[in-house]
Amino acid sequence: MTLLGSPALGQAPRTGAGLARQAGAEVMKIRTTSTWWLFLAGVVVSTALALWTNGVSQHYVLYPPLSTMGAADRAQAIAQAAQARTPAGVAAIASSMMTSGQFFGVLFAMLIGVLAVTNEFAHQTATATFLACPRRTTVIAAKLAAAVLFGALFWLVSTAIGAVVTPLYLHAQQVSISLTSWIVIRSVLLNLLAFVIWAIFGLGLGTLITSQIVAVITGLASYFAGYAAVEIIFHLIYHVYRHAWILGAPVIAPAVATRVMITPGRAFPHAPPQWAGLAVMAGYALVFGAIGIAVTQRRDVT
Amino acid sequence: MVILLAVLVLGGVVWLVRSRDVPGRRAHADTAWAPTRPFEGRTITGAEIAGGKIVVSGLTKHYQNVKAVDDLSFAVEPGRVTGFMGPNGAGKTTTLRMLLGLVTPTAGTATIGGIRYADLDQPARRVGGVLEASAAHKGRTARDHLRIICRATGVPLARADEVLEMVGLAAAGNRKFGGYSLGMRQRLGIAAALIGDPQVLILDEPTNGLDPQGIRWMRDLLKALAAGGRTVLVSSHLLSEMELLADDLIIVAAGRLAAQGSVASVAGSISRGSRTLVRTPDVAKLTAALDSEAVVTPAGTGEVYITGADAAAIGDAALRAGVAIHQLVTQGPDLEDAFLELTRGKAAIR
Repeated sequence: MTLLGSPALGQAPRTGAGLARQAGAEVMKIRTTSTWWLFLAGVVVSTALALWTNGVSQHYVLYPPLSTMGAADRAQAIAQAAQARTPAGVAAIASSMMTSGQFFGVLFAMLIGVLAVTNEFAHQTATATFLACPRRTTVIAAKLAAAVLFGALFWLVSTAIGAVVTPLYLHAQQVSISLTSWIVIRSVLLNLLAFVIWAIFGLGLGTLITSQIVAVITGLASYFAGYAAVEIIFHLIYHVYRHAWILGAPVIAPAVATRVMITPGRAFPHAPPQWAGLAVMAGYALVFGAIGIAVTQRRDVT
Repeated sequence: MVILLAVLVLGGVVWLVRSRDVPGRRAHADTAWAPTRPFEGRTITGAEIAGGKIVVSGLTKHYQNVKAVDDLSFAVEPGRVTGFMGPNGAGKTTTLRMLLGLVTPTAGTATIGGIRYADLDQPARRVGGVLEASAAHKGRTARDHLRIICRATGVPLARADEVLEMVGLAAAGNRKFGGYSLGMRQRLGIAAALIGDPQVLILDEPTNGLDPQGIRWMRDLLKALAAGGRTVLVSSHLLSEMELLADDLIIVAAGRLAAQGSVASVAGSISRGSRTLVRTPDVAKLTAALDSEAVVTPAGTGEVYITGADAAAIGDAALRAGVAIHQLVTQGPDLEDAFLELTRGKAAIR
């Protein structure tokens, strides 16, 4: 049953799990437009910039410009420098350097997730996609896999740059720690989790808001505005109710939760422990993934 | 232990035999195959005829306050081109989208070979759909667009180049879709639908934006596919094109079935039978010479339509009366008149 004597169709038909096939198609979709490498270039540039600013500020902690300070400041700076030179302090510096690319990197991971869905509607390719695979849960799961893969790729590139720069930096600052120490490794792995979860977060956002421009703006706003707005709101609430946990509550904002999740110790005064940040992010990923699948199941593709 | 091993080996053998048996069973003698047909000097092999019938039964789709499709039932046979016609907003596109599992019906069913599209095993290998002309990412090449569909459909990626060549886009395959003309986009849509070499083709307004060569090409392709035993359902609002292309017609209006049957039977279903166009310098004299059953209606300066008398009777009467006849044309039932009558009062924007 071949049309025009097709040699290609004459070959044994490919079988196998539908999900693997659809995931392959979704990866191809991302690979065949210029978006992904523009984002990757963004990850490289933003990681480099973050390493530079992070490195400079850490340098001034380790080597405070004492001659320009007043007596009180000087004492505090010396104490801080001493703290930074303890093994835990150096581990924190190393972790921070290794995860420098996170602040903008997770944004690109989120945008890959958003675009994986909204592109289908913006370019009317959803029809072709659902004709090839009418099982919509499979399509969403495949998009999830592809977005996670590219989120992980962004993490890998960002981490690779960090892994080259960080040892040189630590050597130059004359402090030392093994980058394979568990504290550093754990931060790097949690950072991977942050990239992956933000990719899923973006995917869920895209299924809820199919308008590309609105979804992208909402995503960016929830990241940047969420940061500041949530902390201000909870500080105001704290002034009324005076419970210490209220100061830790900004963790419900995805951006804050990410920072809490990857920062060893406390990300800010009264911050909840790391696992709370992880739980919040996992919760977002689950809820958004579930909503994404439910909405896509019901939606008419017109 | 030994028993367990024996069971495993036996199970493996049974599985192997069964999986080998599957393609064999498909080509078994009880399935009918249509003859091969030529198209542009090549051969279109016949499709398996069984399983290509489309049945729509009680199909209904309500949007908030519009019944886009209202208890619609029809059947589409394999081996024929079926035109799906109706005024704008009659529910054609919604019906086709429900048929392809893209829109969920409020009630009723739409099946292909007795199975809903979403429940088909490898649906894109059974059914090809062409729904929007501009349905590819503008920054992606046409070849990549097709290769992605190959990947998702589970056919070798080389199939993309085959269908590109088939629709005459081989030279433009590596160009980005954003630079494609409307006609090229239509051809790409056809290429995408042909990837799985489907038995059933469903096309929504495929001739929109095509130049005369493209329209001829599309017509020849669809006719060849139908002649090879495939089911071809094509929506259009171009009556003249449907008269040339379709074997059967389904006419919908306001979401309901208005007529179904062969083109000739639909065109003949309206009240008016055939009529004769006559051009003569003396209408009054000719009218007086005709039988009393003949009805004469003016059609223009010096032209009249005559019903109730055939061309021979009119010619004889003219000879008897000594009236000159400059033109005498018998017109059969007209599809345009039939269409307008069948959809009268149902074409308003809803």
